[in-house]
Amino acid sequence: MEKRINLQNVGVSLRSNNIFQNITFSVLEGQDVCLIGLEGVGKSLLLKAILGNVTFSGEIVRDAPCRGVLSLHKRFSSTIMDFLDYFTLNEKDKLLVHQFLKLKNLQYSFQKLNSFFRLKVLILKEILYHPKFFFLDDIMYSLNLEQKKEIFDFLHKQNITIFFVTSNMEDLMFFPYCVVMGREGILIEGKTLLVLQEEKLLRRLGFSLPFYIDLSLQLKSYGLLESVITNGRELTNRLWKSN
Amino acid sequence: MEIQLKSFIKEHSIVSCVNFPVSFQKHKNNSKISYITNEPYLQNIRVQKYFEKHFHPFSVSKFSDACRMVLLSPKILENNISQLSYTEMKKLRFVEALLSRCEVFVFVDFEQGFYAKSRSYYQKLFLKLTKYGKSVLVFTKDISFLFGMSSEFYLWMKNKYEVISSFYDSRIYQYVSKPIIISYVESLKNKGIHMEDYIETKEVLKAIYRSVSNGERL
Repeated sequence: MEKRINLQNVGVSLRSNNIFQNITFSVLEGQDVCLIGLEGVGKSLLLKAILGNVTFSGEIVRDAPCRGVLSLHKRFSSTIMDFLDYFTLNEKDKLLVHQFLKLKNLQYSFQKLNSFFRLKVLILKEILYHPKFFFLDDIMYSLNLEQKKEIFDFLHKQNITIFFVTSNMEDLMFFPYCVVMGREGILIEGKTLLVLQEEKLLRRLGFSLPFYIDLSLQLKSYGLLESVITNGRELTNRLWKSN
Repeated sequence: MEIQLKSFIKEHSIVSCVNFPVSFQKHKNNSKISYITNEPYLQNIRVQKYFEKHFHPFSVSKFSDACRMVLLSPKILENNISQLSYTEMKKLRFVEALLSRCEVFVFVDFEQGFYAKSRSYYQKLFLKLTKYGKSVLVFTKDISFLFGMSSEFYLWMKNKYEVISSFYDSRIYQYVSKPIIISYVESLKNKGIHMEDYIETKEVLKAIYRSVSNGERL
């Protein structure tokens, strides 16, 4: 049966301050989800609630193991090998480590790693628990598109469903489904392309649109395109080759 | 290479620095310089207590004015400082800097976690600070945060820095991520479509409209 995570009227309060409430949505196995939300609305706190790190009201049902990386800041003075407890791993997991890190030497100091490798090591540490759902907070801001793609592809190869929080609207293009969170509940959710066409609402909330969506929508309004295009190559072909 | 933060400060101006090492940014030995970083507050006390401890005398009305200036609710005084969200924490660091009456504001990866509307607001606020006679240093890895704010910036390249005056300078993208608008305009130029070095979607739209209407072909 399809695994899922169900949130029903979830709320978190800190010192009697309601941070958010009435959050209801589901994450289905195999359907990656990207979460955006108003600033300070409690997106990170929501992840902590799902992972069981803070107390919450309402109900969260987790059908399958969940893990996640919520911060890049981790003080660990030893090597990658120590951090991953490498010598306690079975052969299959050791292979996984090498496939993902692509480093010949695992004796590098964890503290000296750049943000890309640091994130990879932190992800690996959690992947070795073999979760079905993986949660990533807004920690990919310094990564380029290829690096992000590499991480997402790796997680997909492990049959892991990704739940990703971001403040970079371009990241939405990696995800087929998205959820927009407000303080009083979910503002809008659905297939990413459809949600992004709610241009007025998103702009009113302070979001920009991903570049190709923004450009496509405007070209559509000028009658130069009939539909929204999500990548440059196709956009160029449609605009100039159809001349 | 021994370089001093002071050598980058330009009076009453915004100076942007891209890809600079963290170690360089952390010369915190001058009370006239305030750093607005992503470092969390570690104390487990209420915001009001924290400010009363650091500002004598502490004025709630000045605090509230500073909060409104940085888009933060003054009600935050009641919250525990260690439980603030990532963006609230950064806004509060900004409030601290404003109340400290410093001469130089150093923002380190400040834009991270903010969406378009706020980013654009803070860009205007930085400019406002310079009009009040302050100097602003912006350290970032996100080149798009500089669009519309700085036409010239310093780029750190391994162990030296260079002054860069175009967002289309290929040296930049050996070190930081390339904004999609730049990649797309470059791809069109490579295909022979007439494009300037645009950094706004609106400008790309107009150029496409002109090109398609004029019957330009690939």
